[in-house]
Amino acid sequence: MTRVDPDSAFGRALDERRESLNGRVAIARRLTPRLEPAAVLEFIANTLGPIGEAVAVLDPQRTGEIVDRLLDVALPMLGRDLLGPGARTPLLNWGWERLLPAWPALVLEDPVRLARAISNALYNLGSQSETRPLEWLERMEAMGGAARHVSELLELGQLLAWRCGMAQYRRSALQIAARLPPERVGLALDLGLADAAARDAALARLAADPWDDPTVSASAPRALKLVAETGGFRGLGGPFVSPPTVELADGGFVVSDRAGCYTLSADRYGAAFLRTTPPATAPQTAAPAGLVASIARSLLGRKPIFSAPELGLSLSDEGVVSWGRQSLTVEALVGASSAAFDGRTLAITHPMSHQVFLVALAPAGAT
Amino acid sequence: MSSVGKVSQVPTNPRKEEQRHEFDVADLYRGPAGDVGAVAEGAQRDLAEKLRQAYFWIVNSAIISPFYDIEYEEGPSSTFKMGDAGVAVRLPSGQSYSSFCLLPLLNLVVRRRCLLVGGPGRGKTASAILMGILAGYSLRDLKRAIQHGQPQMTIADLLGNPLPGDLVNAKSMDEVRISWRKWLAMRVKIIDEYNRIPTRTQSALLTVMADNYAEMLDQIYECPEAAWYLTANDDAGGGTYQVIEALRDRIDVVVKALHFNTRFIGELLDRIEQGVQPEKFVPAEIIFTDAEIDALYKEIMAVRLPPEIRRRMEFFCSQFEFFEPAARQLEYMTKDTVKLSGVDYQQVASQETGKDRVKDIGGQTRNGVSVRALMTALVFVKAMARFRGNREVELEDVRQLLPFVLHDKLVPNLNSPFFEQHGNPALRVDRVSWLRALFDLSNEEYQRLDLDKNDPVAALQAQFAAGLDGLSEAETRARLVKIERLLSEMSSGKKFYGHMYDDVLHLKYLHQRYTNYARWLTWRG
Repeated sequence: MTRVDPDSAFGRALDERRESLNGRVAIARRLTPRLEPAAVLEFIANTLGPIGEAVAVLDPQRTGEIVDRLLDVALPMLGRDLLGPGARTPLLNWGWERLLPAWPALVLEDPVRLARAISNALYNLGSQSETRPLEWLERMEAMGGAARHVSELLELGQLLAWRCGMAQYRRSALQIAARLPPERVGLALDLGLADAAARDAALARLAADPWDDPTVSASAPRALKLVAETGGFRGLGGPFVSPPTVELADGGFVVSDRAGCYTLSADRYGAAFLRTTPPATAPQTAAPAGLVASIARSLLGRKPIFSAPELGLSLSDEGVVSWGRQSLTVEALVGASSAAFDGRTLAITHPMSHQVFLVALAPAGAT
Repeated sequence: MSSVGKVSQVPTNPRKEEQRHEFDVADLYRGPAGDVGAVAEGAQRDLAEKLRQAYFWIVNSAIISPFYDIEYEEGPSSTFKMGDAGVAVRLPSGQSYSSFCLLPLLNLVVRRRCLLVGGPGRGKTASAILMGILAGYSLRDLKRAIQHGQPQMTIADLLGNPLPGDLVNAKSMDEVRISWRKWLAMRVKIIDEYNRIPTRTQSALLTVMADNYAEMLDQIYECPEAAWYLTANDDAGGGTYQVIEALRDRIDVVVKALHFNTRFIGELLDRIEQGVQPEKFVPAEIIFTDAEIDALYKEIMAVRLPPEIRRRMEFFCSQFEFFEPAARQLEYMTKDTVKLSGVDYQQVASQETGKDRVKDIGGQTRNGVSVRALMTALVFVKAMARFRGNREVELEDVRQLLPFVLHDKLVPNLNSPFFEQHGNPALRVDRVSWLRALFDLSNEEYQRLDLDKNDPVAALQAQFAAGLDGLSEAETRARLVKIERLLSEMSSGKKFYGHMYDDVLHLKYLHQRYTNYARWLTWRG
């Protein structure tokens, strides 16, 4: 445990507020018996200390007040092993240790809101599969210093959350991006955006097509690609206990296995499965039925798994996706169990796989 | 459960929300660390949610008041009968509240006058101080600003003193400056034991409470709108000095400090042993700025009072003023006429005949509901609705809040045979339950008369409200006939109850308006 220098600004603030801090901790311990005094002390020294010192450089008079308020936010999380030495995952600790000391002006502006937002964001990123919380942390660390206000920083965080795999937030993140300075949006999305017009054009492309790549010319040819394989077996970190099936409901994908239903949101930055209720018109297809149907098709005669003649789109039993003049053969899709199309993306499942395969037209040279 | 420093993280009034496929990135910042509020610059924080968080912090961490006497139901609930008298123990199925914690908080945001009553040492002053802290004042400033009622309190003690130098040197009263007391400028004002203030000083206090200004030696100090908290050991207006009626009448809501539940002595012990004083640890995020209170007040005023709820309030309030033996002239047949005459109420009441004195709700009171009380009731029921997160008042909001607003306003007629009925004697003492029972009886009568569907007076009122422009003489006369016919129906063989009184007066009013209009049409030619 780092020792607090009693002569430092933070050390003096702790001393002045000893009664207040002890009282807060005493109450918190009474209501959350698992809260260990040693853990609180370690947190104060190792985590609050650097934040306090950073704040003291800008406004030493308010150091004590800031410490008070941050401790108020931290204590309940310390008692629930979300923060501190007993934390189940290090994510929230990293957020407090790496981000808050780097933004003392923002901490001074609104310590409670900032600390809560960072904690909740890391918690949510860490709780959702297929996201990249560490990438979010690193990007925030790199970019957050340019924010002039907490609100700006939090909006950046929302944009980056989408960028780091929270695909369900695509629509609202794009709306936020439209308000942010072009250079910031460019850094967040790894796009070179010279001005607002470039930003708006890029965002418009992303809004229109989840698989578009604004770094590639809009007139570049598009190729039929397997743009993502997502999902997976629950035992290996995925959401599904059994091979799922997919359907379209209310304009979005709903993927169902034996245990439940999930909405699927996917784009070039990631894919998100989130629990939902079964759609009203859901045929309750489970993987075994899907397998039986697949075998039956092969015995009784092949029909396409999916067909939208008005679009020239189909998926055959042999794993061939045809879209207009293009076709794509994916061996893993031979004998697919179900497919659904949302206007941009064809989502396909297989009775022998826990994955959901996504096929779309994407810029030919895009990564 | 929450720590003193912790604001409730669970939804404070969880409502079932529809499953949605449209995701909002604002959800990124919702989680175990607590509410972050709106992200975008200029976006408004949910102030009703902040108010609820403040309430739950108070009940969980500050004031030990494990009572739920403001009961809401959301579906079936259980009731148990205890003891020989069958005391009803209700377990409400909806989120319910402690009046001692909730009403001072509502008073804070509507900036009215709250009287906290109860025996000594029950937390009345502590509760008032907490409200001041929630309004952003420091504990030190609040304690110094409390006005402590005591028999030697002078007007100068209360309001301030003229500057001695000015008194000596001034050539006229205009030149005398007053060193006004600091508490006058505060947006939370606490008067401790107001019934120990001498009568003369009470008058000076009345000016400040009623009109928001202080006056001394022809100098005026305009006070800002404030939430007032007065404490007293009894609510009967007694004490060292009788509280002047005008001052008592300015009280908007009366809250009883409930007893201490001994099952919580352990918590008291913890506080003593650890030296914990919750008023020193109020979380910053539940402290309201003046601007937030102003904004929340606007939200409260924007809460809709549905017409059918308003009609029930009107019907309830209409029961009480009418007093047939008080006069010969219709307009003077009120309990207020009796009071002003100085004649004994019981003596006049004994002349009343014919009505079912148990059924007649109006017979249970010695006065009616004043305009001031009505306005206060409207404000508080809207505040209650907003506190619960609603944009519209529900009937239960009215039912729960009215007793606290009318607590000192409607005086019971303790000789009414209603109080002799089985189970009712306790209502002589339990004013809140009595008022709630009154409201329930009124609603039953409202239902029985089917006034939601069958209200000819309302129909005529609406017709008149559409205006007289373009109304022909024939139509005017037809309406006059309609009014007379309705009065004839109302008068045929029925008892003249309180709720009919305002209707009859209204019909007379409409008749007079149409009559004048018809005369004008005739004169105009």
